[in-house]
Amino acid sequence: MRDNKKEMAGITRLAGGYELENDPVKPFDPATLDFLSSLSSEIRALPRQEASEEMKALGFWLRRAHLLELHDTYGRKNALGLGIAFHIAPANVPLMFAYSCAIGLLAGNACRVRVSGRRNADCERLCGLIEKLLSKERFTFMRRRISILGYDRERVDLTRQFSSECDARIVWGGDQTVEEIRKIPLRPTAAELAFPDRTALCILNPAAVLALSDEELKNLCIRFYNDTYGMDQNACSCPRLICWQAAEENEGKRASDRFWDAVAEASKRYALSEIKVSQKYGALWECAGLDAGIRQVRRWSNRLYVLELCAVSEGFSESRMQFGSFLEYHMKENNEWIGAVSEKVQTLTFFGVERDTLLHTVQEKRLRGIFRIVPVGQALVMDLTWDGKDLIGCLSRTIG
Amino acid sequence: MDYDDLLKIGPYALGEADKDRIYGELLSRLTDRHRAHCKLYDRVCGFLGDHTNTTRSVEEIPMTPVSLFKQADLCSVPPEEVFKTMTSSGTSGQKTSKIFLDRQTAAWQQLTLERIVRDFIGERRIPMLIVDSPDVLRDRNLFSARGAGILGFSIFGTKRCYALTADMALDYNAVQKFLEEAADGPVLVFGFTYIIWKHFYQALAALGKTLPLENGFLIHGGGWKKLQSEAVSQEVFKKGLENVCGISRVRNYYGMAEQTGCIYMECECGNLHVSSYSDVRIRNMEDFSCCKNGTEGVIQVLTPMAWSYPGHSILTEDKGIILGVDNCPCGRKGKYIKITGRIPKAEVRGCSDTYEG
Repeated sequence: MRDNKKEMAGITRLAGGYELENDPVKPFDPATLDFLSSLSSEIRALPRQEASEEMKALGFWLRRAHLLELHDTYGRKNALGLGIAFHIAPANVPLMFAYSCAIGLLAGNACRVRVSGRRNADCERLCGLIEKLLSKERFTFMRRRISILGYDRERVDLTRQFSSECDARIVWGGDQTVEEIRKIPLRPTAAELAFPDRTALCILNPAAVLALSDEELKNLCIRFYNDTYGMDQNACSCPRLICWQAAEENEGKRASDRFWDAVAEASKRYALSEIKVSQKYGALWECAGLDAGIRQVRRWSNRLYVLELCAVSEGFSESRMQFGSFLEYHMKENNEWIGAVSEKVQTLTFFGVERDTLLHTVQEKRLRGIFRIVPVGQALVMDLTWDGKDLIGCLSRTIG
Repeated sequence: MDYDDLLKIGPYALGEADKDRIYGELLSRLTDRHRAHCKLYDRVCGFLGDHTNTTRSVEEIPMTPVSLFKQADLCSVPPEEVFKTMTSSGTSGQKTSKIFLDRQTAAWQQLTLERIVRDFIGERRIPMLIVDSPDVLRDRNLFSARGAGILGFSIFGTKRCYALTADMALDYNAVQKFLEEAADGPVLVFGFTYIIWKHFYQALAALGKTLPLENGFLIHGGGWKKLQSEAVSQEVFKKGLENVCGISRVRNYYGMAEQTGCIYMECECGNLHVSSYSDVRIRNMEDFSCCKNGTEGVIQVLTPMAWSYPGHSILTEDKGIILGVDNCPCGRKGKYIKITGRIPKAEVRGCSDTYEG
């Protein structure tokens, strides 16, 4: 079944074929939907102990009903894919490669995916499921549309070759990665989508938090926990700064105490390793010591650190708030958070605030940042509009 | 009591009860001093709930994370009193620690090392074989923990011989001549663990030659990380050296550039001893509580020696165990410990810094 010709040394083929066809198909092509929803079924059939939270989320995202919803929003009649999409996936969001690949396929492209040499069990398991589906006769055609490869980052020659063959290149990861990959040329007709370092902030309404029942508060804080600790607070869309809306001082303080106590409770399930505490405690000293703008520091053992700011500034995006460390600010008037927004701020999460009000502010104040506004709990949910780009639109062509 | 008085006490003569009392007092005063003179330190101590002008227990002294010496200039003497700035030997590309020493602290470092090492090798100065290249001292860029270690230990040597050439090759003839002159008398051999293994032991083994070091006393430090990755255990290390130069007294020490001089020497029973001049706590990283003796955790090192910079209480990135207190069969009082390695690097999630590996 496998096409071994032209395969190079130093490449681990994790799923799919090696040679790809470059003929585009229509976005949301039924055969593609079939394949992805079959993958969803495979994931959801995994035994409980093999299905991580991220794996379950991917299975849920790929289910047919959701794909059809996406079709309704992003589908267009007069469109066709670009050809081959080459994805460079991040090393430490283990299943990001799958979302990137699925989006490339949905847009109508054959997908080559480079995954990091550091692969975890989830990645291997998922590639196993994809491989299993591709070996079924009804999906043999997909072998020439999916190629998931593992190779070392030092192999610039491979990245160069795949870049020269593709019609679109998708680069996930930090500024450094984007800069490095940008040095490698694409064909003049090829498109590039790059996702550099970004950060996120969260706006909470004190009265709304105080009005919650204990059970509702617990649920809110579990959602907040998932948004942050879930990805070691290290993904672009994990909030690092929490801005409380203007309130009477006492009310803001009470809401904050209540909220963080519940977050500390939720964080008890977090796998807090020694290296994380070591880095987090180091960052606490660095941030609280070097930044004169910290008013106070609160700690819930080593699970949760909260550093209260005297004022907000764009500088927060540079602070190393990870593994459950947060900057907090009590606003004196409700628009003060815009002072923290630069083009580095990707996601804004909220609770007890109207989304439209926030959107209106972003537009009226002509902010350079904020690409997504989602309720607390949805920071890590993948959408087809990402960093302000319509991914299907960017990875397909509209025939005018 | 101050650190000068502490230095008058024998390195392994202080029992635990007395030590806790003396350290609580000395370290509290030192914490107040650093808070008064180092703004950054004072600010964070305040945030962490430390109260000035109180007598704290040893456990309550705030812990400075060792990584902070890489990120910030921590100094509690005026710039004109900085006599020497020491840097740690960070591997290439990494930031190095910066330690600011005034004359007093630098002198204490030297005295502390002397008091500790003399307990093992005796009061007399003896010929010293340094297993390194003399360039480590000549090249100011290389001057680091390695250079500082060699300089520090040099006070124990009458005459000195560098065993390695500028390109780290074993100068067999020079060493042989030096040992002939030492005429079977005692010799101190000093070097870094990895360099001794790689450039001394392996070079001798490859040449198929031996050296007469039956009366030698070998002291080595600098960590086992590199040798562990080559699966060389302490036993293999000792056995190998005995085979190529007949040396039976091979002792490891643990120490760090951030508290130079306060070393933890291995005794004849194979235990690393905490001297009167510094102390150790083992922290549970869940909540920084102190681990019971015998339980592994992250090492905190404390010393009232750190006068010119707030490094009198440091949370390291090393793991270890307190094996016992006041009862090592070698007769030395105080705690004795075991180092079990570095905090393991773990997979961290997130999408920044992603193209690695």
